Amino acid sequence: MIRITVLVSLFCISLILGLILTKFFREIAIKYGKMGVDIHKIEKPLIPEMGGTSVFFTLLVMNYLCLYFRFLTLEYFLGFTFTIIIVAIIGFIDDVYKLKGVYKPLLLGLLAGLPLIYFGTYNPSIKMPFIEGFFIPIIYPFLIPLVIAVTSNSFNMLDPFNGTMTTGTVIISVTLLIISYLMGNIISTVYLAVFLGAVLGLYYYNRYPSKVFTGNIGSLTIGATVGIIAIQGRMEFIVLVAILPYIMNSFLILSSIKGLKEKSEIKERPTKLLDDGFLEASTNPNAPLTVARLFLSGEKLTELQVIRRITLLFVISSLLAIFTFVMMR
Amino acid sequence: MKLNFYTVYLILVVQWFLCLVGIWFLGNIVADIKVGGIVYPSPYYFLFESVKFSISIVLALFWLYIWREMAKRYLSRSK
Repeated sequence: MIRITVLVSLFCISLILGLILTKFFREIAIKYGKMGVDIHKIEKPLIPEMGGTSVFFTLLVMNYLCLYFRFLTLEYFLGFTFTIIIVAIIGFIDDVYKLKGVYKPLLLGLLAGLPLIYFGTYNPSIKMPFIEGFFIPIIYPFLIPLVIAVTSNSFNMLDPFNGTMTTGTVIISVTLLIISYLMGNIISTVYLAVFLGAVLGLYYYNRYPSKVFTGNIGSLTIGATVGIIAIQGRMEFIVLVAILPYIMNSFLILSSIKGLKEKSEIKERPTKLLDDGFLEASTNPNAPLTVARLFLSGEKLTELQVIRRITLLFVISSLLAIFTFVMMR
Repeated sequence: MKLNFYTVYLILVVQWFLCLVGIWFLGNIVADIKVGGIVYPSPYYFLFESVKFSISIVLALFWLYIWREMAKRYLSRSK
């Protein structure tokens, strides 16, 4: 089992790096005019975008450090690193050139999982409650790209309000870190300590009211990292339970808009901003069904109130992940 | 009866429970299916594994369908 002092050190270095890099990329976005409108506020402020680039670079540096100190083997390092490089490139292209709705998941599905398959850093026996292991050695490699595409896109879809995605990720990461430590899984524990630091660094600037937006590069990288941890750390089912709010949101959107569409292609918005600054659910039956729309149904709320309700959803899913882990022991 | 926002949390917990029921079914019935002593790496194992996986996919789709229906009903009864 890895020592707690080592984990705390990795977490602290990652957090400091995350904070510095987020501030750096925030200034770069301001310099190059890469700004996005915060549509849920009356004054419609312009916020620097692509702050999530910091998570990608923090993970790259920290993973190399973990390899150097032999917390990771070369195969795991290469599998992880190449996967997030591919995902970050797709996210960057999407941020700069706006990919069409179908291309992003298609590219992620086709390319992102390949390094993990090539380096063979997976175990085809899925750990689940009531089962010793669901052994699917032939089909499992084909599922890896699907897992990366689903996790990265799901995280990308539940990022409508200031800091909802990063708040949820922090809660989930803490839970998974505790579970992983108790499981005695060194690789996923190291990944999660580093990941938590990187995401917290971004969260500091992204929380309500946001000083920076994550951008597709950030949300896709964060989602893909969770997917990689699930696969390499053999925590597939526990991660699935922890990220249920993300899955719930993305499935409801996809089933209501009937297909993969980019934001600009969807005419109706799930929520609307009223003149008094409150948010209300759309009454249009053609509007996408989202978690935020469910929470706003039948009442008016401020953005902060919606964020708090979504945060509680993550707390509950994390508790369910802990119950699931207890059942697996 | 008008439903309040706590129902969304309840839907999540119900879905988790249904997921566990599905896993129990997979673990105790589907995973135990034995076809004429086919073991990995037999050339027929792919067929056997496909059957297991197809049953899992059908269960997952049914689970998602229940989820969508619950969300739709909540939306119509919370207004």
